Parts: sequence; structure tokens; C-alpha cells
Amino acid sequence: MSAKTGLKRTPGSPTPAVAETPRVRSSARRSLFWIVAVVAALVFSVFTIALTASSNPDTDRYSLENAGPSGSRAVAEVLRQQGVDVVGAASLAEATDALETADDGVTLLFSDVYGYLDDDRRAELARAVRDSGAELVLLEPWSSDLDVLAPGVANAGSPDGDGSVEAGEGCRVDAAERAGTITAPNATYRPIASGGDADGGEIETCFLAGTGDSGDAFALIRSTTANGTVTVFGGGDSLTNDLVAQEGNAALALGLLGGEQTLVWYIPGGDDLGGDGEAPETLGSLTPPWVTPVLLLLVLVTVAAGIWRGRRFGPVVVENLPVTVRASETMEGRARLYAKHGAHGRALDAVRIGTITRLTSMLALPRHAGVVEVSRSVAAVTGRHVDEVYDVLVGSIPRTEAELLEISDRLLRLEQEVQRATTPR
Amino acid sequence: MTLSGRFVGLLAVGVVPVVLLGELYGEAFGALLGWVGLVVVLVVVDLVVAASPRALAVERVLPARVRLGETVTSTLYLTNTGSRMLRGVVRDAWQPSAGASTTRSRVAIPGGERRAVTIGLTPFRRGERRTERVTVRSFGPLGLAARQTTLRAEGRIRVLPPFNSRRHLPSRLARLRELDGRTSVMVRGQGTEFDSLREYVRGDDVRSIDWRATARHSDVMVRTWRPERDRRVVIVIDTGRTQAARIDDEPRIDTAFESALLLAALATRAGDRVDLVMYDRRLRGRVHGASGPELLSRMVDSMAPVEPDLIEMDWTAVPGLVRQVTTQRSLVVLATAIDSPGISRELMAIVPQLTRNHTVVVTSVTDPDVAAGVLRRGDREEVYRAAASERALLDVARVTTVLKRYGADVLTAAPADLPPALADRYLALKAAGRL
Repeated sequence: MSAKTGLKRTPGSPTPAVAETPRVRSSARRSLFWIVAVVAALVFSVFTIALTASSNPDTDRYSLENAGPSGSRAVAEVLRQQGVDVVGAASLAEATDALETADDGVTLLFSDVYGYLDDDRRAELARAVRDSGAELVLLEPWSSDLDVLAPGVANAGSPDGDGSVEAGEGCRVDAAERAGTITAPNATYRPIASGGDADGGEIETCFLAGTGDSGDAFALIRSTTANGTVTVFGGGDSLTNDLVAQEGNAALALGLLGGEQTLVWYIPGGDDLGGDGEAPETLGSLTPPWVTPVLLLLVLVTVAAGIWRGRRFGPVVVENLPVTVRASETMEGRARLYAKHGAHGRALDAVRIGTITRLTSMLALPRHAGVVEVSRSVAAVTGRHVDEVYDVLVGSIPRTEAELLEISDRLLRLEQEVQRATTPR
Repeated sequence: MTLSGRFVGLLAVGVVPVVLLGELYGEAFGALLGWVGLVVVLVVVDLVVAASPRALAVERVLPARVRLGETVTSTLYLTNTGSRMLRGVVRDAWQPSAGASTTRSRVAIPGGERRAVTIGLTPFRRGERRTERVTVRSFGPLGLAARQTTLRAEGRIRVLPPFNSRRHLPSRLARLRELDGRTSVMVRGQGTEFDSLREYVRGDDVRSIDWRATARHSDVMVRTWRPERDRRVVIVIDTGRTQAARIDDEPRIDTAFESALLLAALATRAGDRVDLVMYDRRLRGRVHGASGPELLSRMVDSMAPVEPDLIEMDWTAVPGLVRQVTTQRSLVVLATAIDSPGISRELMAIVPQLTRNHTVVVTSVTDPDVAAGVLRRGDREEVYRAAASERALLDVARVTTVLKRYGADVLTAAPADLPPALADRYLALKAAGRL
């Protein structure tokens, strides 16, 4: 029965409906604070990252670029100011290149602090040094270095004491003599007394740093042979930024390293490890170049799909729902209570009262008829004995659930019999 | 703004150029940037070219009322006041129980033109169903992205009680007509209002012979009677918490409404005046001084939004309410729930006040499950349930006994049987001349 209202036509042109959605401009203005905040946070983080990235510290020992206590930047800078051309080399290739391109005399400082070079490369380095006629300074070399680069010198272990060491009486190296005393070295060396030295080179020892069974140990040994001059120096600390200003360290450093026009400062790095200069295959080099872009694209697609499916089509509609109550809940609850507590007597009472009420109306007895009267009438109608009927209706008391069920069944049978007897056919 | 599935697809297709360019020229990142940039440009163009949904004028054409269970059409006229073609989807945000056939419809409205969006509404809950907004998504020509705007466009429809019991009305009206002028076999109480005199025919009750009139005429005259007219019927419907209970998947209050509607339809045909009061602690609805078809329409209208509240019925105010309606002797029907003496104490307290002046009928819905459960005693669970059912029936019987003792008539029946039972009780009272 729906009364349809007629179509209302408004005169003139219709006016657009009122929009609840805010315009882009006004919503942008409202969220201006957050936009500014996010942009500011982004700028701040980019700025911070840029700052920290530029000062990524070089912490290698004796490195030319390391301005920390263990670096040697100070020495290199002073040498540069003195007109020496200091060239840093981090791999054998760079070092040999630098040796070849150097015009005049050249000094090569070599310190394989981390033991990167193998024998082949050492031999190659030795060849390059011999070819270029460079003056070689070995800073804290290993025995394996000495075997190839300075065969006349051997390792003599740690120095005996701390503090400082003096150049000593027999020292005839100019730089060491000028320095006088230097900081105690990390390692000491001794010349090998090889009488049959083919080259017949001479060996100078300076800075006595210990005595042992096989002879005195020195911090600095210079051996001059036909192949050139090799200086073995065990006091690397004297060249570090930390200690270079103490004792005569600076004088020794400048004297040792600043003798020639060019100084090649060779500290082997990771590039000297590889087999034939080819890095091993990594996961990154094995994947095709388009994998990362495709992954990025898939992320974008996922975000777009989220917006596509997740964007709500207008606000949520609200509706108040009425309360729903099941009417038989109290009845069910009472039944469960009876069952839980095994209230046979109470349950049977209720069933009996109901049955007697129905029997009374079936037998057309007055509403306030007593149980005895009802029993008599029922007995008369059904032909059962009065006592038996009375027993079912009132007398017997159930002790167990089985008895409750049995009496309930008998009540039901009685009711059916009375109904059959009283219903006219 | 929103994106479409087509946009997502287009973005995903970008895998092809990225892989191809990456494989052939090693320009995968360039290809990615290029593709994303292209798609973004396309989206911006699409959004700029799309017609503005703000330019839509919305007009609703909607019937004001619908009877529960029936279907009506709701028409939404959308006028595009802009100049560009609007292609998109329109969502009419009806409440869920309005039973809209669909809430989303595709539209294509050229600039300056009007289109109708028609949907069917089959509400499945009584009361006022409403919609407040229309949301429009306007897609651009490429269909990649849409502009979305929610427009205010209110609409409401009143869902009336179904009045399913009107199928009982014809038979009851026929019996009402039988009462009219049934004077020939006049029994005391068949109707006490004098109607007219007519000649005696064989079979008429000799007690109804009017000797005075017979003396004036040459024939034997009998008086005829008709049922009283212009009696008052006051229906009080309890809208408190007990009426929220569902019996046979119908809340008690709906059964009360059905009974009230059937009784009102019958009584207004019989020439009686019907008043309706719905009350719990405040007046929830009232129909006063209406008759004929207007009565029924006003009754369903006032019943439509009434839902039972979770508060106790205040019976003490009911005698006052009845007195406000009429001081004349009338039939007062109290549609409530009789559960247990505890809950019905207030009802039992006020019934004597009403029975002093009025004929009172108390109606209550009984649960057919409870009645059936009494005789179902197969196993342990069922015996206990039968015992609980007996106890529930006993509680109802105790209240009923008290109410009857106070002079009220009590009518309890299953939801489907209560309305016709009340109509029958009314007819019986009318026939007995007790109104």
C-alpha cells in the first residue's frame, strides 16, 4: 500500500546538491601542518645522512688518508709541503704504475700490515723496485717479506723495553743520526751474518732495541746492495699522527721518506687478495638488472591495488538495531538448572501439577477438586486401581533420575488413556 | 579521488617494458621511472578531464510508506549541471534493513541532462528507514581514476506493520453482519439497542412481541434490536522490555500490533470508536478520535517506528491514560505479556481500578514451544524441559487466575492465533451486549 507521490519538477535550472566531501584545496589547507612536518623531517634526515656520509672515516693503520691516531696523514702532509710528491697506492698495480711513471728518484714505502700479499706478488714488487731503482723502505715487514725484499735481514722479535731507543754509536744512517732518539719500535730486526754475500753490500744498523742469543736486535737496518737500498724499520708508531711529534720521530720520518722527489706510499688492500684481478661472482652480479625495478614496480602495484579495493565508497551507514530476546530462554535456563542439580522431586512436582490440572479439565471436575477425587475419577475412567493411580499422581517419590523418567512416562500414559476415554468417538 | 582496477592493471603491465629494456639495454630503472611517470601523467590527465561530481543536482522520488514485506521503487533523478559528460558509479546509501536491491548503479549523464537511477526497496524491518547521502564516483575518459564526492540527499520511507491478520477480517465482518438485526430468535443480550418494529413472523421469540404496538396495529408486532453502536474501545499496548521477546520468530509487540489492527478494523466497521495508546514509561504513540480508513492508516503510522524499550512498563499510569481517553464505559484491551506473578504484580494491582468502570481484556502471547514441550518427555533432558515448561505455564495460570478474579478477561494464544481470538472475543462481548 504505497502512496506514490508525484514527480516534483522544480522550476528553472536545478541547483547542485550540497557536497559533504571537502574540496582538495581545503583539505590540503587543513593538513598543511602535517605536510610541512613530513617535508621538514625528510629534509632533515637527508641532510644528516649527507653529512655523515662525507666523513666516513678511514681507519686503516699507516694510511695516508687516516687523520686518526693510527694514521699517517700528518707525515704525508708535511712531506707534501716540503715538495715531495706523495702518491698513495692501495694495490700492487697502482704501486708498480706509480713506480714506472715517477720521473726522478723515487722512494717506496711498503707495509703489508694485514699480510695481503702472497709470494708471487712480493716477487713482482721486488722486480718492479729493482727495475725502477727505487729506494725501498719496509715498515714492520714480516719474515716472508724480508725473505724476498731484504734477504740480508731477519726478524728479531719484540724489543726488550718500552720508552725510547737511541740511534747508537755505530749508526751511520743520516736520518737516524739526526733523529737521535725515537719511540720504542714494535718489531726489531737483525742482520744475517752471511759472509758469502754475492753483492757484497753493506749493512748499517741503528737504534739498538734488544740483545738476544743470535745477536743484537735493531729497530732500523739499512742494507745497500747493487740492487738498491733497502731500509727495514720496525718502529711504525713513529710515523703515526699520534706519536710523530715525540722524540726524534718526525726527523727520522722526514729523513727516511723525503730523500727523493717522489714517495710511493704502498699499503696493500683488498684488491691484492684476488686470483687474477677478477672478483668472484656475487648474488648481485648474477641477477639480471631488471629484477630490482620489477620488485619495486610490484610494490607500487600492490599499493595501488590496496587503494583500489580499500577506498570506501562514501561514509559508513549507521543503523540502530532492536534488541532480540528469545522468549523461551528463561524456561530453558530453568530446565538446565533442574538437570544440573538433579532436582527430581521439584521437576516431577511441576509435571504432576500440570498433569492433574489437565486431567481435572478433561474429566470436567471442579477446578478445586482434590487429588483423591481426581484419582478416583481417573480410576473409574481407565479401569485402573485407585491406589495405583494415586501412587502415580502423588504418592511415589523419585529417588533417582531413572525413577523420575519412569513416573513421567506413567503420567503420560495415564493422561493419554484418560484422553482416549473422555474423547467422544 | 580513487583509483580503478584498470589503473592497477596498467601499472602492472609496466613489467614488460622494464624487463625488455633491462634485458636489451640495461635501462631497467629508467624504464621503471618512465613507465610510472607515464601512468601518473595519464591519471592526472584523467582526473582533470573527468566531470565534477559536485555539479550534480539530486532529486528523490520515493513513496512515503510501504507495508513490511512489500517492494517499492525509489527513483533518484540526477541532473548534470556541468558541461562535461559524467560517467561513473552512484551509491545511494540506504540503511541495510531498507533492503535495497542494489546500492551501486552505473550512470552516464551528458552535460545539462538528467538521468534516473531506479532501485527496488524491500524493507525487512518495521520503522523508519532512511538514506542521507549519495556518493558519486566520476571516472575520466580513460577510466584510470575517479573523482569521488558525497552529496547530501536525504530520503526516508516509513515501513508499516504488515497487518497479516487482515485475512481474518472478512469472516469476522460476516459474523458482525449476522449479529445485526438478528431479532427473530432473540436471546437476552443479543443486542440491547432498539432498532425498529416489524410484523411478527412464525419463529420469532414471543418475548419480543411489543404488545402496545400490536394494539395499535392490526398485526402482531415485534421489536427488533441491533448491537450497540458508538461504544468505545481503548487499546493499550505495552512497549516495555517484555514485549521485545521473540516468540515463533515474531516479537511480542508485533503480535500486539496485529491484534490491535484487526480489532480496530472490526470495531470501526461495527460503528465503535477505537483509541490506541502505546506506553511504557512515556507515551510512545497515540491515536485518538479517528474512524474508518483513517483510523487504520493513522494506527499503522504511529506503530511503525515503535520498538520495545529495555525499560519496565509503568502500569500505574495506565488507569490515568484510559481516563484521559474516555470516562465512558468502554472495552479496554491491555496487550502485554503475562510471565510470572513477580513481573505482573503492577498489572494485577491496577486491573481492579479498570474493571470497576470498564470491560477489561488482557491479551498475552504464549509460546507454542512451551505448550508442546509439556508432552514431549522422551529422555532426561526433555523431562526436565517439560518440568520447566509446566512451571512456566503454572506461573501464567496463577496470574491469569488473579486477573480473572479481579474481573478481567484474559486471552492467551500463540502469535498466529491471538489476533483472531481477540476479534472473536470482541464479537462475543458485542453479541452479549456487554460493551
